[in-house]
Amino acid sequence: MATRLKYDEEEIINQLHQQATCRTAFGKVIEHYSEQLYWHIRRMVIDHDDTNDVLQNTFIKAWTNIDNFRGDAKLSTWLYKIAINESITFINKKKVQNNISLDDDDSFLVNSLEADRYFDGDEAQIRLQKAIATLPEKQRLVFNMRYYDEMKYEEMSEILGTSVGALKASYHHALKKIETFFENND
Amino acid sequence: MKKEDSKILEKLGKDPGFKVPDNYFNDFNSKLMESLPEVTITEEEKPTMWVKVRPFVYLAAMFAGVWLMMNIFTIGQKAKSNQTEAKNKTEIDNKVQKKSDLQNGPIMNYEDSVKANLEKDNISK
Repeated sequence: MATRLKYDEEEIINQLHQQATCRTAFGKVIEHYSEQLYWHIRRMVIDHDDTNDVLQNTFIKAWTNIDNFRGDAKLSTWLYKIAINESITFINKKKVQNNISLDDDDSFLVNSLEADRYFDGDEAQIRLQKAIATLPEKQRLVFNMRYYDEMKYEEMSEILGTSVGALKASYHHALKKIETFFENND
Repeated sequence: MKKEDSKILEKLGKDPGFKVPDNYFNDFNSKLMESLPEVTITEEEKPTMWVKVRPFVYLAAMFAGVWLMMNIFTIGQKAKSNQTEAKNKTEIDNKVQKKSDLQNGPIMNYEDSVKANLEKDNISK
């Protein structure tokens, strides 16, 4: 197992703003955030290979725009924002490729889940993923961040630019919709 | 499981069943590092001593300016009041002189006194 480099965000941000140290510092950022961003993206795009591409694009975008990151927000907030944008862009591209309207939900992503070699969930897990995929994009994001990542509403608010109250309401609606989906598909 | 979660979710748990290839994250990190393009960082210049003290110097200069203006104004006012005082004193002195002249009678020269006597004689005639 590779030794984990010490991660001090303030120090890393300073190093990111210096030509001589920025690459090494970004290496530490990748090591620190790649796993949590991977799972966040995976829950959005479902497929492992697609997640790999989106995660790669996320970090490359962050790297090429590193000069614009002044450290006003947390590095995690900035990376999450990029990851979310990249995920949504990817899903929309895939919809266009599959002749699906952009207004339709993301259920098509779950269709190939059973055949995915990197999925070993049972029937109930597939149904849950199908239920989550029927949610509007914002509710999906809120549900995933709250339910799976157990992220605080305040942090979600910074990432999504939505008030805490609206996020709580969004999560509540998402739960209701998932329950209804299970009741209707019993 | 939080209070806000539903019973259905309680049964399902939080593992969605997604997996990754063995050693995926280590491989991903090293491959990504190799593929990162070169970037140019605009390094922030360290502020010079002058840049650091400049606001304080400006502030001190401003206060000095205000102090100087106030002093000039006060000196001006003082000079003006001295002039007025001197003028008033001269006026008062003149008035006092006039008053004493009136009381003691004017000091006439010989010609004026002759004229005055002649006028007096004409009037009495």
